[in-house]
Amino acid sequence: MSWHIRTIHRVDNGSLGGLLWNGTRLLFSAVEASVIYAFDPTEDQVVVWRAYTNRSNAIAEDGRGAVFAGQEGARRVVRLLPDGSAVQTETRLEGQLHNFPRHIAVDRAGSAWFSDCYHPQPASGPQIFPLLTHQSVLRLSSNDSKRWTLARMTVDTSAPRGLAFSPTKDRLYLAEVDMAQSVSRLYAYTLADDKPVQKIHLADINGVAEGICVDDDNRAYVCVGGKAEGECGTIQVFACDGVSLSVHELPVRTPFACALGDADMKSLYITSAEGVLLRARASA
Amino acid sequence: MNEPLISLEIDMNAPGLSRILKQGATLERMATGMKFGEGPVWNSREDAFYWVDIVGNTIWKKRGSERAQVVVRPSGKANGLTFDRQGRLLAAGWAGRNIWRLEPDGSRTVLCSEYKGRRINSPNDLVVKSDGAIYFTDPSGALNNVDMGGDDVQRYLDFHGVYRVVEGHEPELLADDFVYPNGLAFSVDESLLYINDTRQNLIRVGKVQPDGRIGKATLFARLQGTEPGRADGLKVDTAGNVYCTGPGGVHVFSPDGSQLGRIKVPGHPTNIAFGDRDWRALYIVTQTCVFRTRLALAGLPVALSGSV
Repeated sequence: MSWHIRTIHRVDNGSLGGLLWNGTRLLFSAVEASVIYAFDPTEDQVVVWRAYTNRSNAIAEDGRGAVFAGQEGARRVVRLLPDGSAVQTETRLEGQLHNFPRHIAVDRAGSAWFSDCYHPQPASGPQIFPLLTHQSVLRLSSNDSKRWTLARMTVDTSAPRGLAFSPTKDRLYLAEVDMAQSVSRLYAYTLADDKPVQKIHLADINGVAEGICVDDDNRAYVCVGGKAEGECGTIQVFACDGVSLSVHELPVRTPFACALGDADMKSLYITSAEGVLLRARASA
Repeated sequence: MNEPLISLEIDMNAPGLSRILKQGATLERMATGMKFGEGPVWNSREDAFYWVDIVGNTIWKKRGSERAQVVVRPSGKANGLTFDRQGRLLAAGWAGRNIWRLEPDGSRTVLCSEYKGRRINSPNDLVVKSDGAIYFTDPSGALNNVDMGGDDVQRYLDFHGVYRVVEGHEPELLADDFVYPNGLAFSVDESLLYINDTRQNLIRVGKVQPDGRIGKATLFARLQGTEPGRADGLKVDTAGNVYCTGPGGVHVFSPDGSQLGRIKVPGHPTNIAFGDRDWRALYIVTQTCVFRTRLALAGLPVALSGSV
């Protein structure tokens, strides 16, 4: 089945990053511009949803009325509250400041799981906080939305990227990249008591994978960058057992994140490092 | 503990610097171990030197050879410090997003936290005019920097302002055209207000109007150098020379804006203060240390009633 792809929005001052469908609108981050935009498909209009977001990239609803935002500018995950404020969560793992949050997924308890990666661009302020010695998936949890704790969820990752839960939230999909070889692997962690218990290698991906989203049929949509200059990026779709279902070329080289949306949840929105927001729908 | 003295290294651009620095001057390391030092000020009533460790969330003071003492912890990651005429400590509440005063009973009084109903950014430094008005800079650094934010890190204002506040009154916005206003100090006769801009690495100066506002601030001097440090702390001596921390140390300018030279400092300098009983010591704070050197000229005192 082919896709019809439309450009929804374009920024010329940096990349587009995390995105989320909130039921009526698509929120998406302009990372370097430090803005989160909202696209209303019924009005076909993009407006500023939140300014001064401090290089926020990944965004995800926390299930308590707020939006988690991974601020690369300050190496932290904040909660953007409906009153317009931005409150910090826990930034330290066993006393050490974590790295740069890259992708976020929220589990059934409202905890934020995020890939905690190195980043070529330093955070703001004095460079006096060393990075962790590992790049892992971390989990932010809270019982009351005030006091947060940070825990390491993976000890077997070296360069985690996109992550997403299955519809029943008992499985975590995770992409890992090997930048030197420009290849990636798609894994699934089975979860028990909201902790990973088993890691399953689902697929090898020829290219650098980034964001992942999962549909109601447990199919994983993975953003994969084009390997060479001029080579298109793709969305690669996998069944839950790792079988490759389809590959869709995009009019950008570096897709970053994707999310399903619109009233029927059958549009796939895709952001890219080139600053383009795309919407893909299966052709009739 | 007596640390060995460090020979003072200077870049002299003009002979005027020799009237400021004594022959054979040294740098004395007064304190170490901060995570991010800032906010130096001398208290002439106590003969004590105050400073902050922003990331360490502490206001410190030290008298003579005594050990440093904690004044306030947690400090709300206070940044710039000064004293009002009554000798009460005033702080630029970097993470707290306010200007506050430490009362004699240890409580804190917030003097300013909003501008036109919106929370201000993150006050960086402040100075008190002789009429008691507080002038402060309000960039948004604490909202963006790693491990420096407070309870709410959302920025609400579209500018980085310079303000004047008088207790019991709404703050007045004096300037909204700085990229990143930081250190500020009055000239000897308070007819001028110097304000530096960290991002642009320069100093601007505005004329102080009779009503306390300032006219359009124009370029006074640019800081040069590639070493660690940007335009940050700023003070003025009794001859009107302007001292500004910047790349590699403390940059000294004559009142006409020409550079006299630079006092080199190890590390990343952040702020400065004049001190000692004769105000002829220059205290230099870096990210991790406090240094002191003695000068031939006195700095402008932080005036406390009855003590200067």
